[in-house]
Amino acid sequence: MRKVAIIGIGHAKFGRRQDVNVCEIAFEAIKPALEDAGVSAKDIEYMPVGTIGMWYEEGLPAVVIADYCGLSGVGLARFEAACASGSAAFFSGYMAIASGMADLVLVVGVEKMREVDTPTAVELIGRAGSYLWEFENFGLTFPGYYALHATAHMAKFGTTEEDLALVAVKNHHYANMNPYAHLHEEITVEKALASPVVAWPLKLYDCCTICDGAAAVVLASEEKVKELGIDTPVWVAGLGFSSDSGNLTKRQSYVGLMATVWASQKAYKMAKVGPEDVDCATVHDCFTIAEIMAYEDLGFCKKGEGPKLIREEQTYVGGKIPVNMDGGLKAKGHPIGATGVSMMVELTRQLREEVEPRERQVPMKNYVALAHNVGGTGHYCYVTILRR
Amino acid sequence: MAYDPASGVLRSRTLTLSYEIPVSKIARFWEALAEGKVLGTVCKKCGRKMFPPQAVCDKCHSTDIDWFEIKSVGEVVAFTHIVVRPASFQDQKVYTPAIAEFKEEGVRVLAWVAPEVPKRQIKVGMKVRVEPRIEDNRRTWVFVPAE
Ligand SMILES: [Zn+2]
Repeated sequence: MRKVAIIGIGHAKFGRRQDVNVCEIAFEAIKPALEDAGVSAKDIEYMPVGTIGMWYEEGLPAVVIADYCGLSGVGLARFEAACASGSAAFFSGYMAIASGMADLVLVVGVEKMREVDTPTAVELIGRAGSYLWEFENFGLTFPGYYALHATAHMAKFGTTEEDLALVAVKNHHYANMNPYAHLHEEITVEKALASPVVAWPLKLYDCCTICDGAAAVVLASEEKVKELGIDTPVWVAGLGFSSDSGNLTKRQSYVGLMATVWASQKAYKMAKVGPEDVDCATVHDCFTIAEIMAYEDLGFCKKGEGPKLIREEQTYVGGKIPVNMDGGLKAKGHPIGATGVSMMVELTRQLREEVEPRERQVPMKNYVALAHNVGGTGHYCYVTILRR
Repeated sequence: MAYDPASGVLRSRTLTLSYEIPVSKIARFWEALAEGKVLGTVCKKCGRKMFPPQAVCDKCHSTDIDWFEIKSVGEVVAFTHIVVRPASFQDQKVYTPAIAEFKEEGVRVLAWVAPEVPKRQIKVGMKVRVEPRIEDNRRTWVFVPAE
């Protein structure tokens, strides 16, 4: 296997983007990614695109995006791994280079979720599970799936609604400093607790936003890195993937996501690091309870001690393990297919130590960063470890 | 279709989707609901119990499958009250999906806690039975308090 580096990053502004269609928002990420890498569209050999679609009009998004950006002719595929679609596309791009099939790959994650009304978006995401057994009769929603985990975590470990709110407060704090984030609003625990219930015990401020967005990264082989004279390549040091049952009834417990445990173990092993070596992480906080479970399942603390980590502010900059310095899915926004790629963009900035404003920059000790991207409710999981 | 210069969007053509889902291989499950029973499947070769039921064993791939009734008292292990509802559930009141574990049968089941059960009574650890219901011509199953 050959070494693979991230050499270019681009990120569109997340939010309700009624001003752009899927191709136009993808362009906002693709152009800066190519410029950052110092390459042009004609140099790209393969373009995997992470996107779910359904909520926007195009049936072959990879094709029309490539056409719009002057990339027609490259190898193309669309990747679906629910909310981990971006990481699935990234993995395919990684493999294309690691295997020797390509030297330059453009990975795109994109979603336009706000072209349909909210109940329709809630329906389309809600069906992401086992349709016949969880949706047809029972109308489970995406917040509902995680709310089931929240009630189980609360019953077993005494996790409180205040603990969940603390995660939202942190992620809103950092999103407020991130120009690409959907929400720019500092919140308090009181405000979060007073917000309307979406799926009890999850309230509005426990939930990620339904939004539009795109992110892109350029991947290169070691030879290409040398040829282009890239000064700060960020290397893919480890990658782990896993999944769990489509039906929640086939799982043993609801206080964590086993797909996270299994995927992270693979990634740590490949990168030859442990959770204690990670300088900063982007974790899949589609809901506040998801961030708490991620702390535990990734090994940043023991099972059941996630609430303590946030109560002690150990996941802020300066803490034991800073998490979601970009505002997370929670407040940066969660345009589903874009999320996994957006995580790579943020971690690349962190590892290059070029984050602005500086309050968002994590001090690097080992120059190791981890991206945790879950699809559905632990239905898919990808963990990617980057190193400068 | 309609270009709206004020918002800068063009409203697309409308597509209405509904699927015909094949359930013939587990027809017994849907028939048993009308007889007042909720069934799971068990593999005759390796003993694997399955809910939701399926016509093949997910462990050993045997097609030699039998049915069993879920009739013991189970325990709620997770639940939620869904307030923000999907498009096709807009006419429903707040509903409560839960997962209950039936240790005796060795399966977990997902269903609504019956709508007549007061919300404040629903907790992790609550003892329930599962029973079939027919609502709006749909065959479904709900949890009811066991005591
Ligand atoms: Zn079997």
